[in-house]
Amino acid sequence: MSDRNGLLPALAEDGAAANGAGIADRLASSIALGVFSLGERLPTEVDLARQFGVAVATLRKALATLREHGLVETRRGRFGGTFVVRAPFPSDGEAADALARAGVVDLRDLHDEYVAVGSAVAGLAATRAVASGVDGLAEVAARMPRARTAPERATADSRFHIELAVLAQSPRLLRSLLRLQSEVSSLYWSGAVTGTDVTVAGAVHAEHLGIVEAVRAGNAHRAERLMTEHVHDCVYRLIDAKIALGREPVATERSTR
Amino acid sequence: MTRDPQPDDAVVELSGWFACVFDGIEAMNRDFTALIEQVSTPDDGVARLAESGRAALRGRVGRFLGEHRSTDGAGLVFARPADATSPSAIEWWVRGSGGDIDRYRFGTDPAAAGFYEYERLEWFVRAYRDGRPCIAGPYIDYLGVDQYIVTLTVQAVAHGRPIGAAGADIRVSDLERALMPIMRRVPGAAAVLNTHDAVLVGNSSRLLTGDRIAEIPDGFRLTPLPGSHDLLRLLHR
Repeated sequence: MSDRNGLLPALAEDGAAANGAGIADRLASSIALGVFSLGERLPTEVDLARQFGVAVATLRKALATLREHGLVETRRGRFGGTFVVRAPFPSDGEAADALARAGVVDLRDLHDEYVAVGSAVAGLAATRAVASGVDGLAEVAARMPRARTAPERATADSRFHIELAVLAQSPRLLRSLLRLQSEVSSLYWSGAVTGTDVTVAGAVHAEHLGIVEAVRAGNAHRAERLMTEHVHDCVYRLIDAKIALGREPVATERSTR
Repeated sequence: MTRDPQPDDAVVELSGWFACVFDGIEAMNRDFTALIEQVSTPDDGVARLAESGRAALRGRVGRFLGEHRSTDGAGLVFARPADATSPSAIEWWVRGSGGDIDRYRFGTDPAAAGFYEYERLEWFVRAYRDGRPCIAGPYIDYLGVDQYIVTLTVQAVAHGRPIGAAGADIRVSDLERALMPIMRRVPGAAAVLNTHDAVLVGNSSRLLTGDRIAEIPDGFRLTPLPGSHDLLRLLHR
């Protein structure tokens, strides 16, 4: 996976078991950390096997394990392949390692893209959403205070942003948003970032409600501005957690350009 | 007895870090002059200077990149030939895979779509025309090396006249990796600012790489980093 140009690149842990179970673990943490996003089709078995340096048979065993755990689904036919259908939640250690691997400038760039996509989504939702759609959005937003665990909060948070993108009616923006959510959400809600701070969920919920009301009022400018601030709050917290961690990313091997 | 970290400690360390890179570039540049003069005459045009010097320059750049691990590429960008239709002469090498260095192929044909127009870029103008050291960036070097980088340059000279800009690129991510351990020891929020008041590296989400700090925030002050030829300043409390 070292050739993937994402925020959280190589997850090839040294010394990890190169058997079916070891590869399944590594694939699962790649999904948890958004290296592979929800809905994304995984590379072919041959390519994945090459990336992990294992035989195709070993890789197939790993995929079978992930299927059993409901993380991926394999579909046949012209648009077939193995797709990510559920993301597991990263452990604190996995999240901290992922933060250590990312540079502040990578996180800033993630923030920049999220501001661009997020504010456009919010503005379009305010322009296009009908009353019943806004009611649906409000209902999804109400799941945050009911969430009891970090993984539940991550799911509630993602669900809100995805619902907003659905109201924006742009399949392209929805795809971009799904990818961004995969990269951000589980890291943000992990013990390595928001930890046991229970006030965060309340603050996030309040920001979501502000966006819901801007969308209901059809106020695109306000929706865009509130979403921009929401993204600031979220990614700046990631950046400060990264700096506080005190671990720099290791230099990566230069790829040919 | 230990004392608490002071901003002054960081100023000394940061200043020393940039001084080390500039010293390396200046030493490499002096060798460029000697190497080119050995194989050319004062009447040679830039294309001839570049071609005849290539093999020797490559070896010298390899040594520089070996000694300065944070740098990504280095070399000499010659002034454009007087004839506007002639190709540019750029002798530049970047780290390749497996520890090798590769000559970087820029768009040197002025008639082609991918032509790299560097004549108005800060790192070239300031070094070649003004004869002063430069730290340019952070910037995305579109049609250049296509990376988010900082470029350090000095004036390149041969046969007693300016011939171009010699220098090195540092990827912003590598600069962060090198400087963040120092920045983290500064008490409170702090950032290294360039001549345009833009952040090169900061230790807080309030001071992010690339952001321009138009006004010094309340309670902050600026301390020059002498090793950067006073091109950089530390913004700190």
